[in-house]
Amino acid sequence: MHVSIKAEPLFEMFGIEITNAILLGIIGLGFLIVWMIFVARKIAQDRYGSDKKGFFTRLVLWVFEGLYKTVHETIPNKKVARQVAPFVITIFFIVVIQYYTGILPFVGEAMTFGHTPLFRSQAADLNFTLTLAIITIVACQVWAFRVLGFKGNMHRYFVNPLKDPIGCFAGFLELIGEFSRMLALAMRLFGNVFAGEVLLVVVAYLGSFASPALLPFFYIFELFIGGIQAYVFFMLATVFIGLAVSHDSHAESVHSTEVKMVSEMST
Amino acid sequence: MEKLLYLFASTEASEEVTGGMFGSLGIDWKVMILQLIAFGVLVFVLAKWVYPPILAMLDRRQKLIDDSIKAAKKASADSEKAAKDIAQQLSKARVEAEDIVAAAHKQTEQILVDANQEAERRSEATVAAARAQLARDVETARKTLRDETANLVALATEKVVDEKVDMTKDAKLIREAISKTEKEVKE
Repeated sequence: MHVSIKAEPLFEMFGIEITNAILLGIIGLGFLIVWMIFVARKIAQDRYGSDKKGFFTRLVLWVFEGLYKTVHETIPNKKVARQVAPFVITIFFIVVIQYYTGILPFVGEAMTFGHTPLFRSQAADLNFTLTLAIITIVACQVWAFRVLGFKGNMHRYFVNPLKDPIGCFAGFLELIGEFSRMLALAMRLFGNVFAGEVLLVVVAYLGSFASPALLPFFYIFELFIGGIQAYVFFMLATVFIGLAVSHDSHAESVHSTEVKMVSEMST
Repeated sequence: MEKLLYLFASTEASEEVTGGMFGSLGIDWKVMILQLIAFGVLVFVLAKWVYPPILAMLDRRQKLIDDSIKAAKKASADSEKAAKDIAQQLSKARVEAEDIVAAAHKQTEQILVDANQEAERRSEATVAAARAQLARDVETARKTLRDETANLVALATEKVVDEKVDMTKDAKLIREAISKTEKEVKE
């Protein structure tokens, strides 16, 4: 049994080590783009809203509509919500695709390149999750600067300690919070995917001859967790941006309940 | 099981740790930039070619739903108005019908009263005519009786006195006697 916490390099290209996670990530990304364009073409052809759409088209539509509504419910500012929606919905789709490609049967030790597995879930690579988390937090700041202005956004973190000592301390905590949020986003997704893969491998090894009967249940569980994790990442990104653009006490309380709910779901 | 635990324990130890914490977790800034580009491309492609048709379709559907709701509301309002109109017309018709029935009753009563009056008038006329006829008959009978009685008395007196008295004179005498008697009787 082979368990590695980091993605393993297969070969080097243009000075970048191409790992097994990147390889599967490219496949997942290509599949997602092709599928989405296919769905978009189907929808563009169907101008009159007939029901002659395939299952996968309707699935994408259903998911998109649900997420779009969630974004609008979470971010009260309609203009910002419309801008944010494509970004956070893309996060959901890429996370769910990278999670699901990671539990395909040929991923892991089933196919090897030399002694290293040829494929590894992109989401089980910290580079991917950390990049997504950094993009999310940077996006929060970009929208916060655009909506609140430079001074307004800076006022969230830096408050004059002589005028408002408690506010100053809260601002300092908020600043630390931005980094902890970023780390938490990255680590939560990575941990879940990595643990899921290890779980599947362990079940396969421990189940031995019974594993073909046992694994389907764990696969279904993984599919469920994949959807949940993608939704959690999406929801947190939306909530963080929503909080950044509407910085007041009301938003804070809404935010804390949302975060509580999402963190309960993720644990 | 022991072998498994051993494998787990040995995994980390056997890893070639380079570059401190980031290296051990496999974090590589070049790969991260690659990921950033990939995500950027994905967002660009989806936001440019995929989301607009989906959003347009959702907007269209929302518009359709809104229009349908509006139409349904209008239809329901129309039907309510129609029901109100019908009720109004019904009540109006009922009032008119009641008026007509009342007028008919009144007319019937009038006709009955008129008929009764006419019948009474006719019966009274008939009775009066009959009475008059009767009175005339009685008078005639009385007159006849009186004449015959005078004749009889004349004849009887003639017989009794055995004296031929002039018939006409007798009769005159008797008539005078009778009318005197009648007057006395009346008095």
